[in-house]
Amino acid sequence: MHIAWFEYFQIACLLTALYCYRGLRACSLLAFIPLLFIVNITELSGINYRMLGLQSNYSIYNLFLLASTPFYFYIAGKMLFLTGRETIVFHTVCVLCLILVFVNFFFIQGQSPFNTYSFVLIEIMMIVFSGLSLVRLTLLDQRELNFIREPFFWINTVNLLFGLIALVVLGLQEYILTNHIEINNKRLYNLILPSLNAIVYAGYSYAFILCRKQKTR
Amino acid sequence: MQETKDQVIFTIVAVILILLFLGVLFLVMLFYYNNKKGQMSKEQQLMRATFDKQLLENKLEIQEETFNTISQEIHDNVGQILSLAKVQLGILEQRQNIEGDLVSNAKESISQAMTELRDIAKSLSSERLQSLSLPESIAQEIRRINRSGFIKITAEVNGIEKNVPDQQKLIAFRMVQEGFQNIIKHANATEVKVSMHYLEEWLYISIFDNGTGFNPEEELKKRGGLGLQNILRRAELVGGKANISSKPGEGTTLEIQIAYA
Repeated sequence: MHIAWFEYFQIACLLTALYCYRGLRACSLLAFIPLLFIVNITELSGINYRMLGLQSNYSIYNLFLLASTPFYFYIAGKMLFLTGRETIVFHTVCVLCLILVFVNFFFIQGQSPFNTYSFVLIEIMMIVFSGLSLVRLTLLDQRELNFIREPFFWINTVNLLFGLIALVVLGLQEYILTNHIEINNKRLYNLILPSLNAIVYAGYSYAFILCRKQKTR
Repeated sequence: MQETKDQVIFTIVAVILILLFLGVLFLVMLFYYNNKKGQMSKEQQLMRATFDKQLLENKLEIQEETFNTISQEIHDNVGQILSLAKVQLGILEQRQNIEGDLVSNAKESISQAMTELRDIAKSLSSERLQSLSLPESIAQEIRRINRSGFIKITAEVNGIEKNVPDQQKLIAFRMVQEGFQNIIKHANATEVKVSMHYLEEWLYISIFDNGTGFNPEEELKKRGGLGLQNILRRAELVGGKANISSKPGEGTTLEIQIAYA
């Protein structure tokens, strides 16, 4: 079984989340634990898809989109501090997105090609939610916030940056694949995404540690 | 063909960089806003503190003026009336040739009332307080309270007496007075010990009572805890410190630190 270098970050992130369980519970971010389980299982099986007897790993990543999106949205909702009507709007938007993702998986793009439409839709929503969450974090509190010590800031920042880059790279996945858009014989997304993943999961890990510190403070 | 691919790669990378730049710009703007908010919050806090200080200063000034007016009234008005009543009783005693304890008891009561009122007038008059040293003023106040017989206050002065500026002296005395008032009103104490230490840079005063004690944190949160808050804020006003430590059933210690300058 092969483990890519960036997967160590994902595994470390999961272990950090388990270690910081109480902190995550205090910050209402417990949903990260099942999400990271899904991420790790997906990446491990995605890289070792041949061992599973699969022709390609797209179906694995498509299933990942289906399984992980509710968790991402749930976490985003927790970080948005929604009240009253906002909650209704947020839930409606999330449910509509999930329906579109499921419809795309079963009826539009299907199971074997990578579901770029779903991915683009999810990433746009994540960019919007992260941006809103960061704005809310800044505006909601009357005091000056120390962003460096704010777990929600780190989570949303890495989500936002990941979304902005991955939106282009994976949104054009099919085009890059068919036109062989490569640098040094490596497909563009294979070149960018591992480092991006490492940054994202390192950011998450740091945020979890901050959650733990906030709990003990 | 290769050239087209290069152009596509260049475009994709450029788009990524632009989006990344926008993302970073957004974060920088949030940092900037947060920083501004912090500055504004600090300015507001400073303004509020200055306002509170001014308010307290004015309040204390008005209080001192009121005390002085009351003191003046007691001395000039009530005191004179009681003196006249005492003289009239003397005349009555001579004219009517009344014998017995009744008139002399009445004269004695009036004398006692006059002494009490004179002491109260003295303790209220800021001019008089400023003419005495702090230990003298406190000793006078202790004598006045001890005369009631309800409570026994003892005092000791340690170190070489140093000159305390008038404002500091007055505020320190009012804090001690407020402390005594709290003990009499709420502590149910029988003994109080006052220690004054003239340290190098500070005058340290501690007042310990053997009363019922209380939870200072809870009391300070209550609206009724204004007396305690006044003590703490008065100390802040002259750059000093005050601390109240107490536990239910273990008495109370009020510590005051006042700078000489």
